[in-house]
Amino acid sequence: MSYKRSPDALHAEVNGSLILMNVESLAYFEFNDVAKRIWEFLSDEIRSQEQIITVLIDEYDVKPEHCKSAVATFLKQALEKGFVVEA
Amino acid sequence: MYCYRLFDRHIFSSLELKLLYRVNHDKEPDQRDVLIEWSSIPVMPDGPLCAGHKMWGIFVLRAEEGVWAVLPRTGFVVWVPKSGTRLTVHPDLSQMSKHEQITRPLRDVANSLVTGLLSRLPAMWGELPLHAAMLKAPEGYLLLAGVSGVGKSTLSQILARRHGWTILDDDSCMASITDGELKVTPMGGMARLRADAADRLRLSGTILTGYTDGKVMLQKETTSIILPERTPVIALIYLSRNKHSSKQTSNSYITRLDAANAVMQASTIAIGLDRKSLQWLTNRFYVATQFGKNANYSIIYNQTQTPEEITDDIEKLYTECS
Repeated sequence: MSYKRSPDALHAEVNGSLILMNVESLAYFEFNDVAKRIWEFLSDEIRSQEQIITVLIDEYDVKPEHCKSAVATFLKQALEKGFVVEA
Repeated sequence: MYCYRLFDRHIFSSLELKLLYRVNHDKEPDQRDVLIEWSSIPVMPDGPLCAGHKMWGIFVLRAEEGVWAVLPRTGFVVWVPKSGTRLTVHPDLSQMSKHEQITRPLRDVANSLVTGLLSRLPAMWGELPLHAAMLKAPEGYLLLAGVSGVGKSTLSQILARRHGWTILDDDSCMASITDGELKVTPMGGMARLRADAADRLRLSGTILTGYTDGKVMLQKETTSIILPERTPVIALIYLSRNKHSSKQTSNSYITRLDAANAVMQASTIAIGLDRKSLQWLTNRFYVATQFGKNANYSIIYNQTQTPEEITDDIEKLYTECS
């Protein structure tokens, strides 16, 4: 499965935190460091779940199974909140 | 024509708008200024409701080339084109049967226009109107936000009296981002207080019609336009009253908001005419994130506390962040 940023998602950095709002649902979200890295990696590109996991394993000291599980949870929430869409 | 200040523009009207500061201005309105035309032609506005609540005293209907603002308390509707600069006030055809005559006191209409519509007008200019009092303190601007009746005006008056701070507006201001920096501009409305609050502060003024809580207008003086300055916003303080506390001696509950909460709170005080407008929602988000970078506090006060005690709390927060 591949993902990209939702066109309805606005984002801004506030005192080190990444704050997002979906203009359709009006939902707000604050991303942690790892979520910020995924958001940055998505940028304007379409990325597969595997590509995201590979980048995180490369950059963070994390076990692959934990990373897969965390990425799956993040993408599920981000999809529900409307911050990413399937591509 | 009467000329007034409205945020960082001028507004012209052939009828008096008593709740705004009048300015001496003998020029013709330019494209940026706001012109109010008073029409005697009744209209029946049409379009989907995009904002409004009976508490606001205004309903807004979306049309193709602008919005209709319906002022049901006065029986008038206002056509606001997309530019937000040429407003036409019409009698509301749907309300005509309810009135003995259509010529209700225009003073009421003019006051209702100012509080209900003109404070929200920057939403049509691409700026963000905020329901917040604005004071100028030595270190910068202090904004007091909260719903009507929470005490913005009263606390502003006490702060101004104690410290000589300037009340730039006790109800509404406009926020925008210029060169990446947050800029806040007062609306330019007359200070208004509930009658009991005015009594408490030993202030007197003209009683305003159309207010259920007996508001009085405190000043009536000509003043020159206050141009926006590069002055920082020191703090944004959200005021709310704890209606459920039964403790007689409890103090205010004060919290400093983290970034996410600050952004969400700043969004709640943004007012607009079309609350689904993408431009307004986008402005609201980016301006709110600018506020999130400043000091943001929430004061939930107990209803047994005096305004003076709440003012003490505000002073402590001001000292903490300046």
